[in-house]
Amino acid sequence: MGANVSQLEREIGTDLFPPNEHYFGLVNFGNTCYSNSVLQALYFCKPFREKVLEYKAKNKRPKETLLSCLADLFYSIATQKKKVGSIAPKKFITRLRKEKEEFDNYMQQDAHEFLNFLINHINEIILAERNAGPVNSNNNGNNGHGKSGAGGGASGGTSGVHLPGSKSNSSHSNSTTNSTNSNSNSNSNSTTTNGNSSNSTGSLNGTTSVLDGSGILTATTTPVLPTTNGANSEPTWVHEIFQGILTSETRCLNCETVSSKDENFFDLQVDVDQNTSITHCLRCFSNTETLCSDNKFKCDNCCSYQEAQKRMRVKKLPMILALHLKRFKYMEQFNRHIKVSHRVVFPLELRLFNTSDDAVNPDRLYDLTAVVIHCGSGPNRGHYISIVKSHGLWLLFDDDMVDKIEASTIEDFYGLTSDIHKSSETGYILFYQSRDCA
Amino acid sequence: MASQLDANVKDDLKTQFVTREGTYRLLTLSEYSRPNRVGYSSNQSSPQVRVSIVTLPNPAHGSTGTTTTISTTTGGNRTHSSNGGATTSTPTTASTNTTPTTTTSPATTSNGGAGGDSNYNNNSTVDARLGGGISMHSMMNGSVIDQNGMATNPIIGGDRICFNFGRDLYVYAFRGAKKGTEMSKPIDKKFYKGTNPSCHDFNANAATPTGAPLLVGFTTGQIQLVSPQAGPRELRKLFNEERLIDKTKVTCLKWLPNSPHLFLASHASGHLYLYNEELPCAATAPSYQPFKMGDGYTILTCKSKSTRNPLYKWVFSTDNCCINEFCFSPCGSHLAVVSQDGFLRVFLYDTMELLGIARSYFGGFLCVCWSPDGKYIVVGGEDDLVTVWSLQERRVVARGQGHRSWVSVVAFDPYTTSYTNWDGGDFSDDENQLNEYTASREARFSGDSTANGGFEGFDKNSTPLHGTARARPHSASFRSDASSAALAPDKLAISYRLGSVSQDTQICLWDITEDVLRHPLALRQRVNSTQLNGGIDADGIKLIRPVAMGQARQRADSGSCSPSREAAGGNGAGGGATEHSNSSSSKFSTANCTISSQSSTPPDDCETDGATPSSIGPTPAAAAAGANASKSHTTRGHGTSNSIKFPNCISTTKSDSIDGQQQQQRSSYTTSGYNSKTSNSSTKSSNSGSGGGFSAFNSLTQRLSNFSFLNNSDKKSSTLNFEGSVSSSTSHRQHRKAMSMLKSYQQHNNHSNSNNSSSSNFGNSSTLESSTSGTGTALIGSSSTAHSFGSLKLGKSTHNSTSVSSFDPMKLIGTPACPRFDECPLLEPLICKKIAHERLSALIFREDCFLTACQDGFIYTWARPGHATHATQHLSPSQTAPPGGTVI
Repeated sequence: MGANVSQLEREIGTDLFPPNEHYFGLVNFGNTCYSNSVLQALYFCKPFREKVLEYKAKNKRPKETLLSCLADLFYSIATQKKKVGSIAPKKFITRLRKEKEEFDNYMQQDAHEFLNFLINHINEIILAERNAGPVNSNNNGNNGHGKSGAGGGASGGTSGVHLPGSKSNSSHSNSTTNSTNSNSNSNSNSTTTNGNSSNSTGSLNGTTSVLDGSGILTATTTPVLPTTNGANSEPTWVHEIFQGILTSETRCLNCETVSSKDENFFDLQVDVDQNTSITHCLRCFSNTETLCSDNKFKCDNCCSYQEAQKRMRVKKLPMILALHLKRFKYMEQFNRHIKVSHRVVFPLELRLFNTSDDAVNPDRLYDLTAVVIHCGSGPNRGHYISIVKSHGLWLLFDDDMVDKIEASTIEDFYGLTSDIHKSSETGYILFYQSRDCA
Repeated sequence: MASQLDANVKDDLKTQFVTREGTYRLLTLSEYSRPNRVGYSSNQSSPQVRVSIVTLPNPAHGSTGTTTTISTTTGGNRTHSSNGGATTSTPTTASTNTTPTTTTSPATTSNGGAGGDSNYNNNSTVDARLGGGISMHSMMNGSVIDQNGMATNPIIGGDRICFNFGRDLYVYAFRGAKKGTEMSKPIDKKFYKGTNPSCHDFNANAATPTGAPLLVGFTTGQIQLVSPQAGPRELRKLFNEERLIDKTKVTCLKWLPNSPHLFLASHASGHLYLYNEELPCAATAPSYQPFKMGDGYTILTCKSKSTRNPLYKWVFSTDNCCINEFCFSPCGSHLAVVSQDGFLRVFLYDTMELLGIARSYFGGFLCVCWSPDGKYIVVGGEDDLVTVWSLQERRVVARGQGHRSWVSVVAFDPYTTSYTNWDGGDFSDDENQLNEYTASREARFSGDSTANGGFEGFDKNSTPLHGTARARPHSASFRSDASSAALAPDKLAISYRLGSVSQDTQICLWDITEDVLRHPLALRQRVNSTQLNGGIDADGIKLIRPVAMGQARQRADSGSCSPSREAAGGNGAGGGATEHSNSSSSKFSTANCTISSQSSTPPDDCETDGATPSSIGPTPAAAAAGANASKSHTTRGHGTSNSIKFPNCISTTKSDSIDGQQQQQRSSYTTSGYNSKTSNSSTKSSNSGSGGGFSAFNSLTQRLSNFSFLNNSDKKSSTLNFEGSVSSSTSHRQHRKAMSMLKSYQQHNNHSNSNNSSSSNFGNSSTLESSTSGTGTALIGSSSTAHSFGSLKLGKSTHNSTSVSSFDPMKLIGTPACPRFDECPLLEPLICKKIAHERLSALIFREDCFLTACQDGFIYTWARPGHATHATQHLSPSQTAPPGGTVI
């Protein structure tokens, strides 16, 4: 490995090696590549890394949580003397296995499930710690924040904050910060993971906190606010980085009333089609869908179940857009998930076409910063690696190995155009970072 | 749109489809692929399968094909004009002579035609080293070779088709839609070891009845010139053999239009090189010295005393600038370059001036194509869109959404582009109109001839000098057509047919009609507050225009023009009602474009031009016109001088409109576009779109609103202008606008133009198309340009500051170079059909058919309606069974 490492340095060139940057592989503890690949991707999401390191700096002697373990890991990478090498994320993995029993084994895990869990869990930890701290100040902050958000709902451009604020202008600025927040989050989160396969709407975290879509069209939504949950506490930095808002507009085919409601998301899960682009997949994600037969929509205006048309579009574009390509499809005839190796191209630069009319910053320009890649033939076998962009270089992290790659090799990870080969190396989670925050 | 998305992707492949022209059918007997087809072979990461095609001169006539002759002349001209490389030009011109010789004696060609080159091999099989550990194995097939090494039965004339697949390169005789393929008999096939061919181009100008020189570029950077023809093959030359010039993949190769020896090569490094095929590549790495600096690009030339390859090296300043494709305009004067950084750059090739840019909505631009009349450029890219850019207006005028993945090739179909006839009328007092009309006819005719004379995309079609001359009228005819169409809406509007193929395995056909192209910016309005800011700040580049406008306005004010303005407004409005106004207004949109970009219009045309623009540039123009009217005399005097300056401005500020007229146009557009955000009235007008809308622009209120808007921008603009400058330059701009405006008005009023005005027009036209060196105009244009060069330097310094930031996509969004998505008219495809299982990689329109290529190495021929001669056959052999007899 030593030889390998020095080779990377040579390849990059000592002069060109980005200062204060470290490229460290992560040792595999037995099928922990799902974690390694995601951690590398996250480490090279600049805003995320900075926040985690900031957390580390602020909490010198924290109670051990998954977040503190992650912070330690990031910190130890960032403070290495050597520029390249590998490191064993032992503490983190141990903690992870304690936190969630699904991961407490040596089986192959789904990288997206892990990402989803990690982000939500970190968010909960932050909220919990905040609540444990000076509650009052938090509350004040919340209220003030909510109001300002209501006033200038359009201001969220770069800061990307105001989840609650922008939605809650009419209804509520009351923020009861209590521990149920985090509970609600975790609940919804778990439902999300369950529901993944069933619906194509993307992982919706905190669906319970759905609020009324402020003034969209002739919106007649019920401003029912589960005040107990009131997830409109001040957003955490996890929210600021990853959270976007989807607005789902439903038009009752009986009374033509359009209702809309907002849903938060940490990532978008998109179906993949053969020979398409991620752009197309995202547009399909926002296709109009007709709710009929046993899937009818309860129209508040008609006070009955009616056929309706529904579409989901992005109302708030997150700072980091995580796109999960749904490559593991449940096939009834096989009674298991099989891998869909379709060729789906993803550009290095992205804008969204499926933004809602009232989106704040619909032209947000994203750059591809990291890709988690699944190699192999199925969900339960195979391997995860990740490629990341750092200081203009593309690097491939394969557990403890790090290689420099040319940008042109990214096309090897688009997928396959034929079904002949069962095994493939395909982009699985894409991380796009907004350029205005770079 | 949703319906398209919903459509099931897993449809069976289409073997025919219907448009309003009729039914296009796949000719399964006219498929081309590797002679010995194996089963599925993965070509996923191999270079894109590309197709080159050339029409060889017909030996029956015993002499040069039309193309060749013409090209000779033009070739000479063009090299001269690009005087920077004077060194090169001489050999070129001289060498042109060799080509005709070759042409006349087909028999000898194979032996000595190439004029002074090295290795000839009499074997049909050749092993050759390409340097850098790369070798080539090439086999000739399909012709029996006798003991003398002469092909006994060489295929003479006709068309040649070349395509690459993986490490292979094949040349076949292309037999069109009429005959099936002889798959077992490729004229040439080559296998390369250690590298893959990535692109290629035939030289139609140096074609002989037995073949045409073929350039092949490789993934490892080398460029090979071969002459694929039956008979003893000459293995010709290698460029960049030791990879001293560039190590990266050759992404696009094109012979210069009309030039038998010069070619351009682009590399993944983002550099563009001009080679002369006759010059050697020195054994040492070239050292460069700057030759010309422009906004965001530098052109270098070799330092060595003796002229050597590369003659020029173009370097662009943006990151990740891998050039994906470039393309010469039909007239050969403009060069459009698209690259991975998401930019389209349009240059006046001979002067190396950057005329304009466009930015993808996101991602790289992958392909580019000029409209047959040279007025529009269409690009496709990683945003899944096709983007239409207007040369005249220097802005994105429309986007097309319909592909499900990256657009790999765009191509205009010159044979389906419809031209409405100009119906005489409106400008009866204008002789020019008549001229235009006839000219347009000619143009059409010429278009046909091109079709006959070797296709290969418009770029190849070396439009001869003559051609350029015609090209202009072409545009003129468009203009007039458009106007008439607008007048009588029931007439068929002019429309371009565009085809695009994509990695989604689908082909889309688009009809781009003038009414779409004519739309001002900001069709749909955004509610966002951010927009306002965005629009204005984002301008960066565009700042200048508003300025100009503002100045014009100032002038107007100072000149106590306001009354006159009103009057003008009145006129304009009135005009709308009258015939004249109608024609003019309708013209306006199209005509505007014409004016500025097509500036080419010969001096005589100026009058008409002027008229059109004024009508075109609705508000601002009208206002300006009014103002100008009062000041017309002064303006005129300046006008000439102004025109001279143009080139400078162009080079420095790309966004900046090149000539005054353009500015007018632009300003009008910009104002309407950008202002629309602020002022409702303007938006409305823009929405109304067609003829009616324009007249609306003329209304006083609108003008006023625009003006108010302008005021704001004024400050910025004025400062900018004044900094650099020579007041004269600024004033001069104003004048110009005024001038053009004036003209238009004058026209309305049936005033005769003064000499001065016409001369000023000259200046404009000359600047724009001086490079083209149109026949009549050429002289004037050149002279004016020369002047301009002298004066230009001043302008540069002024603009540089503004233009630097112009390549930041964050700043470009919301500008004409990259309008926001909802600000730009969105086209939907006429048809969208899945025709392959693998991603499509080439699309070529020919007179009786079109060709598509697929990454799996198959080239399909689709007969146009009425041309499917063996339509009956096309059902019989299954697609999988190769028709031509596969077995070797």
